[in-house]
Amino acid sequence: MSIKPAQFDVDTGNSSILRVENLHKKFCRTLKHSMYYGIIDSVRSMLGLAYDTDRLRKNEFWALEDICFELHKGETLGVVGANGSGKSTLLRLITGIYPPDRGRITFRGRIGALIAVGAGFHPHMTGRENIYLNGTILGMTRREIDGQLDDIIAFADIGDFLEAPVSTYSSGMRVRLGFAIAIHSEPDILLVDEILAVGDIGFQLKCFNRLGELRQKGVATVLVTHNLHHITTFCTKVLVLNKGKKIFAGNVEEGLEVYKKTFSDLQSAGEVEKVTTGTQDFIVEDVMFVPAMEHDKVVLKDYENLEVVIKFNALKDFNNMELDCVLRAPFPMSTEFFRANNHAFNKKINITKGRGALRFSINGLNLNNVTVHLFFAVWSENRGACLLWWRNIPVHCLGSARFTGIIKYPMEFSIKKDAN
Amino acid sequence: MSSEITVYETKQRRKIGMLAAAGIMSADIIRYRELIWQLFKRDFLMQYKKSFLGVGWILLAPLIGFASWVFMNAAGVLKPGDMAFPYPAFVLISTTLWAFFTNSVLAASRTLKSGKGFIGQVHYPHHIMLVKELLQVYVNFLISFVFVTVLLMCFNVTLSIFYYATPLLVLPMLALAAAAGLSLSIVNVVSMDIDKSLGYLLNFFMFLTPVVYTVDNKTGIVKLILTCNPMTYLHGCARDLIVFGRIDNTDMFLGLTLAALLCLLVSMKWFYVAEEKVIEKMI
Repeated sequence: MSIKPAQFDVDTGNSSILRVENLHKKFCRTLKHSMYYGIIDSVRSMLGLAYDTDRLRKNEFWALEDICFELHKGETLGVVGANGSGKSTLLRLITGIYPPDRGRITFRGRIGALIAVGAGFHPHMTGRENIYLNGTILGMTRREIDGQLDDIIAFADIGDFLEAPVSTYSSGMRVRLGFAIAIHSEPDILLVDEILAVGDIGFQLKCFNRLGELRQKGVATVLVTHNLHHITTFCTKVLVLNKGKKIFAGNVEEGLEVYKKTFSDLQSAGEVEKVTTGTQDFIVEDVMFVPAMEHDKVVLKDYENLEVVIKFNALKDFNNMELDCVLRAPFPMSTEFFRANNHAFNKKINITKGRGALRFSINGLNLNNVTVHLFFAVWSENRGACLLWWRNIPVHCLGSARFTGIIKYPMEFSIKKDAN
Repeated sequence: MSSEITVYETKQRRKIGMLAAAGIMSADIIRYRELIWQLFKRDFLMQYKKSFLGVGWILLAPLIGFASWVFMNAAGVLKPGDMAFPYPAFVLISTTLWAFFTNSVLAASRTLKSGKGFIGQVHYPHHIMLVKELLQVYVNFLISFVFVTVLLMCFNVTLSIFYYATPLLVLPMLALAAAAGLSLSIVNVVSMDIDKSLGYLLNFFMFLTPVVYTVDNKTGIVKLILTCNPMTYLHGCARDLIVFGRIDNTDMFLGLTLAALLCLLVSMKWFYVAEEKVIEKMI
């Protein structure tokens, strides 16, 4: 629905182009209740009766709660948050795909949404035919498409495949074509939802260069991504979401620190997963960490070894066991940065019947002021049975004032004078 | 940069009246006519892309129907009584008109579901899909109508002058079908029962409507049902005008045409207000 310009800021210089106020959106968890509420709400709306948008009914939850932010011409807002934090829902609300349950979204001009490229692509139609179809779906007129056709084809760079049915395209080619169409739809506000991850690095660079050109022209962009490099490189401000709520909006550096901290808080609050702790034949009596856990996490000083001691009571012999361990960083997307097992060190683990202790250590951890997570598992010969499997043990490496960044490397400095 | 300002807020559409809703929807249909045409072209041409018969599939239904009725009539299974018009030809025209009505209802009931591929990805006024779906049905009907005309001419059937007004005479049925289908399209999103049962219900409804028989000499409960059934007039009058060159209930036909248009207005308002509550169930 359109309103008169007088009710929104007048277009002078750096005025608002997108304003989100007190935005709420709820969904239903169960299919049965979703159907029931859908019918009830649609019948009530037809009869002019009020229907519930302000409170949660049974099995409903807030996907977004009290989101507020403002965007000006030429700004790029990065939206970050864990999976399920409401990022895509926010984009869909701004696009107008479905309405908010509370609050308001106001914007000026045309919105171009890259929520999923290739909207409406028909697999039996050629790339050229789909340019017209997809461009029209995105709001372009035939004349606009005709005017931009050569640029779209050049940007997509799919060669002879342009005249082939889209069903013959790879996923990367579909992204190329879809993005090329969308980027030429001349929006005033561009919404990008993590679609560039599919394209190759060359195409991603081309896309971001083009986004930069649009920014120069005053196009405002909302970029949803898990790639923190994209955020720091292309965004002028950041919005951090967690479980549907805004926990930060503003400066990029501060916002990314808040974003990283959400993962530490999620996983260091005593949420160690003990998937398996022993079997009938391999009884695990205790698992100890050295240094010992403090407040549900292991805390390591500079280059300190991380040691795990497993006290067991084996009711039979176990030969050629495997001990696997992994260290994961909490971001981006829980990267596995270290993985090894005893075979990598040519170490055989053979246990005879009776009580004992199995010990392993990761030596000289050089991480700086970061919490990582330890995963380890013990297997019988040839992975016949999983005897012990623990996940998500938080390990905090204390920081050093000497270093910034997440790794500490010792350095040496020297000066040698030339002999004259 | 465009100066148009857009606002999305909760329960926005509830505040809009029936005529205003119809006005907004009509304006959107005109504004998005290029998109309607592109989607129509896509679906109409592509549905037969991998088929040997191609567009011939549209002609298969009336051809098989005609052959069936010719066979049953020749076998003496049917006793239509004395008719001024060959019975198989009467049934062919009647069932073609009825098929148009049922296909229109089914197509309109898919207004939201037909955009399923991109409804969660881009914003567009969903009511334009009603026009796209009905356009497809109408074009299919026109193609089969031409075929039926040729077939009747081959059998030396005399056609009334009103036969050639058929594309206009079916418009009241189209309005009623659009009204019914548009309302059902909302429920169709949240419940699969509509999709599964609508075909059967429309088939049953055909026997409650004088499609393969006339109203003459009917009594009791049958007569009551036929009298109360709006399709008796919207379908029957159009058919009688085409076949016999006359109609017996002009007032009812015109009155129900207006009623169908009113139903369409009400249906458009309901769709406009209710669809935003069910769209998120599709994504």
